[in-house]
Amino acid sequence: MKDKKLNILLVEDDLLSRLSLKSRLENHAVVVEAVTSLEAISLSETLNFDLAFVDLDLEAELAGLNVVRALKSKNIHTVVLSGREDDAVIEEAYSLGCHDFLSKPFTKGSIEVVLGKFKNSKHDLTKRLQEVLLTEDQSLYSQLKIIEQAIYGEHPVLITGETGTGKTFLAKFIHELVGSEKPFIHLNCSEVSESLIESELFGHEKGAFTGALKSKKGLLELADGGVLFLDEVATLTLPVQKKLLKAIEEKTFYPVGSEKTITSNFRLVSATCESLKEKVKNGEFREDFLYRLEGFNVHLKPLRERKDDLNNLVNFFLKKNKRRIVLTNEAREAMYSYNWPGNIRELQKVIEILRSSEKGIVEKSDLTGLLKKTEQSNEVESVNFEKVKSMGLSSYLEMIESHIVEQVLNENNDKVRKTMADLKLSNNAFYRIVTNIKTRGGSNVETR
Amino acid sequence: MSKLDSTTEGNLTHDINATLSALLSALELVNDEWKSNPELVDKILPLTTMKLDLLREQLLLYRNSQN
Repeated sequence: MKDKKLNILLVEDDLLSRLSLKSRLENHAVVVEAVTSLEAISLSETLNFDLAFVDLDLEAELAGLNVVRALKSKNIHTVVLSGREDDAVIEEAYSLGCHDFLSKPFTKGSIEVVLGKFKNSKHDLTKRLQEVLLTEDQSLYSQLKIIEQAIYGEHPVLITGETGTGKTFLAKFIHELVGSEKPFIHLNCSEVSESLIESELFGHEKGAFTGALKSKKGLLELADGGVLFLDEVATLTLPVQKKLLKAIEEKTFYPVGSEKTITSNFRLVSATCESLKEKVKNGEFREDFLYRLEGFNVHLKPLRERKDDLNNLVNFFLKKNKRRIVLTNEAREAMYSYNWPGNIRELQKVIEILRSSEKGIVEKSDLTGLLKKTEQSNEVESVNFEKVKSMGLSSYLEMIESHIVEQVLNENNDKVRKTMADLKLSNNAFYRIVTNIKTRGGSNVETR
Repeated sequence: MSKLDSTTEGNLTHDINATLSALLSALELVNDEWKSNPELVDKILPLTTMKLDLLREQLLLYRNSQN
């Protein structure tokens, strides 16, 4: 939907500032100029404005405060511009009704943030989130309110949650709030090989490496002005994390094989289903990089903890296609009591499979084989919870993983690579477990 | 020149910030528009030059006041 043009009152006595700001604002709005406080107040009485930018020092020192006071009664969103650094002045401006105080000198980025904030304040974020995420979970709402704050500033957002909980969906929603006309660059870090990821992110010069037949822009550069979404960020290697950290902090970077810096101002949204804190502890993730990613954190709950939303979600996916099917009460019950380890993605897939079958009325028996045999719940049921409590979860899990690694190593005649491949373990994770086994004085683990 | 009193210094700081702001906004605009909107740039550049001279004077005043 295209936003309607805003009506903006620009009150500034300096010709150059007024001209520059007017030219900048005219991309978003119809701008009416005023040079004095009296002129501004008079215009506000005859015309309708959504927003006003008011310089504080006009024909007299702090004359802009009179304008702020007058605009408050008209319910106009007022942004004060001033080179004054005195807290008392800032406080007075706010107490008289200003909504934002921009300290001079400011850049076009600050103006865009204020405009974005104003536009978003006109939307009912809670309602939109309800529509987008199909949730009525109040705790999730309050968490998602974080996003409202995140979009005003340039802070990064870190989305955590199990696979299929809607992390990409949420990243796209953030992009929509930031401005859907701006670029949205999505990279699933786990899908790009270690050797290519640097060039993918930062770009490369022609001849930078074998096969670099021509120069290529990196995703960071393509995301300039928009959102860079790094999915599965936990899989980035330590050297890439280091380079990315520098690029995020300084907003500049060198493409592979280039001596020329590139500047890119992007909003970073990252996502992971792993515990980054745990990875930091294991030396697999840089702590400073984690701090940089963690501007605003949103944790998306797994579907098994959002049982109240299941009904909405099931109905949504059932109605998504023209070929309608219905579920019997027993089938619905089976779906509601299922654990949904694959979360919303799994639910969507199950309904799509049901829809593509011949049946119009889905019975409980039709779900057999589709709902993952509750393997996970059987596993969980077999856990000795008393033991977990007495040992502590971390120690318990360490014991289990040590036991599994020892056993698979034995089965593989101590072949490390095969064991790592069988268990889908990284180098670091494998050697961490082996060290644990040795520390515990476990069996003679000899790796080759 | 003697040290300025705090009100005068506050005003000078304000003036320098305001001048810098005008210059920054103008140069950002020139940077964005010099190809697509040369008329606007023609209008802005003389004002920018004047503002730059003003900044030089303000900075000199500030520096002298600190000695």
